Amino acid sequence: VTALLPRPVLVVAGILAALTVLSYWLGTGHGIHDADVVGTTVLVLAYIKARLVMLHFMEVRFAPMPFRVGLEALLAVLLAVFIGFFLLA
Amino acid sequence: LSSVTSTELRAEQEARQREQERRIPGEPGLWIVIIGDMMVFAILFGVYLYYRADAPELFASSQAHLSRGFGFANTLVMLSSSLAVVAAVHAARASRTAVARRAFAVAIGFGVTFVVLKAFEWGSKINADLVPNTNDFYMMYYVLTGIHLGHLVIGMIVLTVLRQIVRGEAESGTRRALVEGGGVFWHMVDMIWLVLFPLVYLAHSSS
Repeated sequence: VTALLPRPVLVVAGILAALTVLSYWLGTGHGIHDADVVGTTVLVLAYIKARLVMLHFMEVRFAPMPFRVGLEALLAVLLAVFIGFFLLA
Repeated sequence: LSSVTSTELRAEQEARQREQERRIPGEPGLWIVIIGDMMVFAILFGVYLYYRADAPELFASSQAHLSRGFGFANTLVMLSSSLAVVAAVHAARASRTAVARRAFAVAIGFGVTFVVLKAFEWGSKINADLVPNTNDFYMMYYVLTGIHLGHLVIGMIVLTVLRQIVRGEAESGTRRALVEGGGVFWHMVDMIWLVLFPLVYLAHSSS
């Protein structure tokens, strides 16, 4: 499989796996104890992961710039709204 | 001065060429479905957060009973399946049909694994009498994970069709658009899970 996958994709896969372990570790009460900070951190990590999937797996990084910028903006706005709503409660 | 200008011109030409080589993955029309689906989930996540704002304590105490281990395992399963789909799309583009079919099969296998783990997870909740009408949190939990699971099953059907397409059709623009488009749909299912898992299973309030 590795021969089939470009190096950047493999690096991204490694980062995604590492961030998944980190969110799980934080989300199960390790490291940080302030719930708001934990929640915000795991949601920011979710944004980073979703963006990596969009750019590298969906290949949006090879798409025309206006298309890419539009999608990136949409994702950023949505996650910012989620984090805002989360902190408001 | 003229050499600087010609260098600048060449750089500009190269940039323009790069821009022309850029293209939308799959079929532009497909993105209406992808973005529409993402918006549906965004609204559902908004509804979840709206109910949570009304009862943060209830949501925190209910969330504490979720099986985070299952959610974590399924995140890794989802990421592995996406990686297999990337491999399949690359192999299909290189006309390596057998490899593409095998990679799609691996991705479908991970999809089945996700469904099986989800069944065990739901089973353990139902056995503990934690069902949709237990409270708002569990209603949202079953609705969100259920709609996501529905998308995953549709994605598995799409991948199964793609396995047939790469065998039956020679490499062409249409085939490439179908394979890439199906891949993009699968990655969207992955992306939604990457947000759903931390939002519903991990992010909680201090109370």
